[in-house]
Amino acid sequence: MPDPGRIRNFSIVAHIDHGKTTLSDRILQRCGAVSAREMHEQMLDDMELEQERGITIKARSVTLRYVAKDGLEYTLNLIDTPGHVDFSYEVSRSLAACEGAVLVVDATQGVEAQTLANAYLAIHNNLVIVPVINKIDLPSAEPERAREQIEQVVGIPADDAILTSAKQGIGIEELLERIVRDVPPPRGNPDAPLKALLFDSWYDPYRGVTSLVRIIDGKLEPRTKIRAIGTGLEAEVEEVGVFRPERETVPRLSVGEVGSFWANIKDLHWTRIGDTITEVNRPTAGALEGFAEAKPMVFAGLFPTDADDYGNLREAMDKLRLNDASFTFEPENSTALGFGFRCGFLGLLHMEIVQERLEREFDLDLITTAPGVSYRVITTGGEILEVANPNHLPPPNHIEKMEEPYISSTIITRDDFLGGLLKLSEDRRGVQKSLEYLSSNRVVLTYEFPLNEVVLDFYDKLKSISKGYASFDYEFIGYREGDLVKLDILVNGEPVDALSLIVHREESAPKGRLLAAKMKEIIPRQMFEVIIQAAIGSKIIARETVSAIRKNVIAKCYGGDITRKRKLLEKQKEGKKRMKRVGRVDIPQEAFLAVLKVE
Amino acid sequence: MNEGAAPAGIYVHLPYCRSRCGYCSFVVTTDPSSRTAYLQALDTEAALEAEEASGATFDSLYFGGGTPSLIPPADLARLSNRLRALFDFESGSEITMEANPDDVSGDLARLWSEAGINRVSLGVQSFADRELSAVGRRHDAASARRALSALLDAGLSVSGDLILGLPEQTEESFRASARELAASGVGHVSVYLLETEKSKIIEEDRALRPERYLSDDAQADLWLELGEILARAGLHHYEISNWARSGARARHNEKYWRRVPTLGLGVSAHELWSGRRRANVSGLPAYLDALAAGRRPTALDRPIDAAEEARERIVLGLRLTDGVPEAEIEDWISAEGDSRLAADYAGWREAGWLLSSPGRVRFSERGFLVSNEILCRFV
Repeated sequence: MPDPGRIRNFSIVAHIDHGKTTLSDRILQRCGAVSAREMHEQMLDDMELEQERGITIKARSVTLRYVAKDGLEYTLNLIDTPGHVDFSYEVSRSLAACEGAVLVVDATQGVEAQTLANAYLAIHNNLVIVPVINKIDLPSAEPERAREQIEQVVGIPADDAILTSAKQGIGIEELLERIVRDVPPPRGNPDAPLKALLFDSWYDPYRGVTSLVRIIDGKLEPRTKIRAIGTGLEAEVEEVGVFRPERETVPRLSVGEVGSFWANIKDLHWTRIGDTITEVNRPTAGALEGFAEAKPMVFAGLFPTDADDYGNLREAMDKLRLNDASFTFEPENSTALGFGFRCGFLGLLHMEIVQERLEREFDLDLITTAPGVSYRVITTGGEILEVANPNHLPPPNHIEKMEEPYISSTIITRDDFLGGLLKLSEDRRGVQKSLEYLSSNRVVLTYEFPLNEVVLDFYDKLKSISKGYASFDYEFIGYREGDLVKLDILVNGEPVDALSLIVHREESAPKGRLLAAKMKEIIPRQMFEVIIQAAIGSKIIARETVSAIRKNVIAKCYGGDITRKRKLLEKQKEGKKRMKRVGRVDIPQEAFLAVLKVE
Repeated sequence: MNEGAAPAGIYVHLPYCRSRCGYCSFVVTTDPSSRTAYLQALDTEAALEAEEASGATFDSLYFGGGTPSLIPPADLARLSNRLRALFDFESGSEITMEANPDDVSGDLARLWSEAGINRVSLGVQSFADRELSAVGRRHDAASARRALSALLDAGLSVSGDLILGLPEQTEESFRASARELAASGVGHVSVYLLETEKSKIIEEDRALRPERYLSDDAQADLWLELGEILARAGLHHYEISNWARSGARARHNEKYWRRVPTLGLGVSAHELWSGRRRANVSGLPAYLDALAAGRRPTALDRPIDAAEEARERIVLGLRLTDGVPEAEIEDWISAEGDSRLAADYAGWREAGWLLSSPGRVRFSERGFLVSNEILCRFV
């Protein structure tokens, strides 16, 4: 049993692309967890998609041995955290298992929005912060400015921040020494009843659910009958282990240790992240505080392009959810798109990742409808409904009022983009809370937005206005009443349910006009006239006409042309097959995301 | 071939051109150096094909290209005699040659006629010089007029081609071209719509300078008007792009739409023979090499099964103004089991794209214009 005095549990947090993953890899390499030869970049990101996108989605942990300059061997548990705003709840639960956090700031970029958000999470969790200024090898590195910004903006001392280049392997030794020196060892009672924080779990197709825990008090070993205090469910531990980074079976996990256990659990929903695990026979007196459950904030319909794939899609979603409890889905039936699912995601990136995993890992071809948020509807009967699908909105005369989710967001930018970003924020119904200069040319903006204004393409717009410089982070702050209406798109008089949107009343007319115009561009001419209308209730607010096709090409068709003609017709047929039909009108798939392309 | 079957046809591809036209997508070459070797190869290929075709009778021969009118008349005569010796041609067979207006002279027309050619398909394209030079044609309207009278004077049966949608073409200039061709004494007219998407230069030009082109709607209106202009001149619509006086239909080309067997000789030539569709290689060197070694230059050879044949009967047959038997279409639709197709078929008839005459279904004139939208559902 390792001496808790020689355990250090820490995470590395950073803004995206500031070098967190490379730094983790260097630490692994230095501690002999991987040799230089077998180290391919980004060891901890083991999902294919994570490696490809260069981001971390699921948190993982690794247990390392480090012999410090004092001659003693320490156990370092490096708990990885995701870097994107969508996954900030995963960051906070990883931090709850740590005593310290390494805060990485890119010496060429300085403090960014997620630097702030992550630093605040660490402070909120009472962690000791070890500041690191990375990428000092780059010619444009300005470590002094980064240091100032950490002190001014984050508000922690940084005069002894460690200068590193993860890429070049500079400063790694110094960082490890600092972790040993500054991060406090875990404290707990080895003889007390088991008390462990469940901070991650995932589904392994061979062994069932793998759960990651941090032991607070007592110990966890095979054949222990355990209970999760929150869910009340019980199981018997089969095996415990640590990741180095390959899984290694150990006899037990004791105070301060981080490791995993298997208990023949087949359903990921048994495990509630943040739950307290204890012994059945000798339960601990107090449960840990736990975390608020990660709630999906963004909703969209996912439909198989080929209706025959519905069963496969359901199966794929079931499997995916075993590994991703924050992804939700329920069946949805659309007249335009057939049978599919209304899915809930943490954010837009999460949505993209889920869609991509479904398409890639399960070989499915999907149509996604425009993302939206979940509204709270108070009916005239006093009922409160959560409505994530515009088509489930009660009739207007049954709605007393509607509330929409709001976020508080932080934008950090160079001040020459300020004008553009202020305009973008005003256009998206943002309310400015503060505007502060970090330095002579860097600004922190705080805005409150209706989430719906942000889910569509705010992030892309922000990046394009600021040429990629501005950074952005947000948190949910609650529901507020809004003057909201349902905007429908009709094609030849028939509403296309998959195109309905909930929008702010003031924006409904311009949005309807833009959407109808966009649809006119997207819907190809057909053999008859197609009329596109935007409507609110029975009131038509925009109308466009796609005139009937009058001619195709009339070409020669003699001996040699017959094969060529056939190929052309086949191509034309394939094109038609990919479209979805509403009434008699063939609508291309891209139309269902048209709302993302207006403006 | 079975006794009593319709006589077959032979197509011969002559890929030589003086220059390449902006809209052309056929296998052609502007380098005449291989011509002697090519004619030799055709002889060899014909001999190989003749073995397979023994017992079959033929009543049409078609020299296409390329620009067959660039081949010296003596060579054409020799080739045509060789083919008539190898294959069993009925007397009165149709022997067609494609020609470019500025290759035609009174003397040549007589020589062609003496070589056994009795029908010439002339690439008039337009009687407006602006339009002709816009697509890089060598000839002008005056040479087209001279060529037409030379051919008619030599007693040849003549078909004239027009293109609708050329750059610089106006409604009035197209009408004028159509009227002039109809009144010129030709017995047959073919009209094609310019396939802008097939030529990058034209496609880009149209995107860049749309004012040089008639709109799609204007072209559609003109095409319908064209039918009336030609009908008044006694030229009757019988295939989507073809009009003829009675008795002057293109006998050879009609075989393609009615699936009558045809042999194809020459580089990239296609044929339908013994229930198979075959095509020759489309590269000239590969073609020459194969025949120099005494091998057939086949690049594609696939059997046509019953389902495929039924499909072809519909897609090709609907090009004709007499259409296809209603039962063939309806059987196909019910075999396909596609409820959307069945509903659409009813809709097309209701909307008048398709018309019924007792037992047969055919396109209406405006239906022809959008026929690809419908035909693509039958592939």
